[in-house]
Amino acid sequence: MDAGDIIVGLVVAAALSFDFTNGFHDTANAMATTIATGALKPRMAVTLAAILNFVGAFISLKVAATVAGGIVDAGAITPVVVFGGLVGAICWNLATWWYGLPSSSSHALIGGVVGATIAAAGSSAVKFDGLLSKVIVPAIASPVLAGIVAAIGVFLVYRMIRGYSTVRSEREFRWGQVGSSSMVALAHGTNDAQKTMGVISLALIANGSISGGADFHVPDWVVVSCATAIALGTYVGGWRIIKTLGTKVVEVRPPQGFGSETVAATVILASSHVGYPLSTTQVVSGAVAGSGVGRPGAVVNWLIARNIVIGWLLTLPAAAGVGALSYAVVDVLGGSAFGVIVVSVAMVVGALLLWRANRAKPIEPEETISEHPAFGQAPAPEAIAA
Amino acid sequence: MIFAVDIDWASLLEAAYISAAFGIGVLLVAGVAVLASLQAQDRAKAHQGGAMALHVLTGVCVLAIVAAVLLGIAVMINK
Repeated sequence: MDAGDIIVGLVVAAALSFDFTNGFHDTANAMATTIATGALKPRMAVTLAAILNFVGAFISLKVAATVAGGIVDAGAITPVVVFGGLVGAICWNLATWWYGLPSSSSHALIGGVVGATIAAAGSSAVKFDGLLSKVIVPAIASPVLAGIVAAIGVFLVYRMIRGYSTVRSEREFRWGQVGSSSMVALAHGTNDAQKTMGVISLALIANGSISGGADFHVPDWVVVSCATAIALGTYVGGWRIIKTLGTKVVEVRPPQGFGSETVAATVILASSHVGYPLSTTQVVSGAVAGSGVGRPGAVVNWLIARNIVIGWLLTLPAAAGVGALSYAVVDVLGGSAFGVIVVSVAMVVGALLLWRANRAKPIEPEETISEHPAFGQAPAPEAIAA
Repeated sequence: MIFAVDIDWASLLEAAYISAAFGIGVLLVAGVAVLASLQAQDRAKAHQGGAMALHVLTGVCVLAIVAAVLLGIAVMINK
């Protein structure tokens, strides 16, 4: 085993760690509204999301051959650059999870790779036109679009059912909510697990472990390990973000939850159909806020929404900064396997400290249920107060 | 300066109107399903006619939503 094999091994480990954080960071996208209304119990919801993410990873295997393709110069990407990008993305995912902010894991990965690329080859290796057209413009357009469509759709649904008691009409939406959330979970598995498969494949091609030519195919172990990592992450459940999205942005009622998840699934799939990449997190967050605007009497907490948007604005530069720093540390240590090991150990220590801090002040699954759930029992008052 | 960059506005616009049409469309169909179901329950309780027709309408709407789900899965497979 030479230094290249060790670096690739650590890149694979970092990629699977990123996939895991992607899973628990994005569980909220599919299940926050379903849990909040009580349509599914928290553990049942994350189990369903985990299974669908796992299945979704196998649905389509059209993996991108390059990381951040069209955004950075392909010639500048080396396994160490990819590693730096992954470290940047993982750190940003963990930081935003700690603060309960739903932010895009894909944008974090792109930001990390851009930062590491700048550190490795200078800013000329970054295609800023591509960054603007493939990341920034969709990042602005997608939550706005999802929000407007969700607001109109939910408003119309509430107009239709206004003659009936809230309790009766809301109960009819329970299984619709479960179905629409399931679609988002499936779409998430299809989109996000493949990004990690692309990262690992790229590292393997760069190391000469697999062929990148016409006979390129993703090794089975890569597919299975990526599907497993994202499913495990989803099952762990990022309760902090689930609580924010399900209970803090707006009090979610079943027609709203159904509306926001349906619109989110539609926007994600329509964009996928026309080849426009979108962030699942941003689409769902926009749809949840929009559904609050559309429901008569609902009050959107714009302060929380503002914090989420600030998180989105910081994603690219913050992940890029950590990605660049990681690359620089490895470079200072000789650009060898030793440097990669040092950064990996530092990241593991940081993650363990955060895990300890979370155990001291955990968010319990019951805390992610709305104060007035449509189904099941309301959480204990102390859980709501937390 | 944003317009000087090669942004695929056509795809973005296409995604926008497909999303709007399907998103609002599915929600309206779901709304009709719920409305028909509630009215069918009320009519059945009051021993009024038309409950069966309303149940059929609910079923048709549910089938339409299932078709939309299958279309979504087909998009995932063929992307």
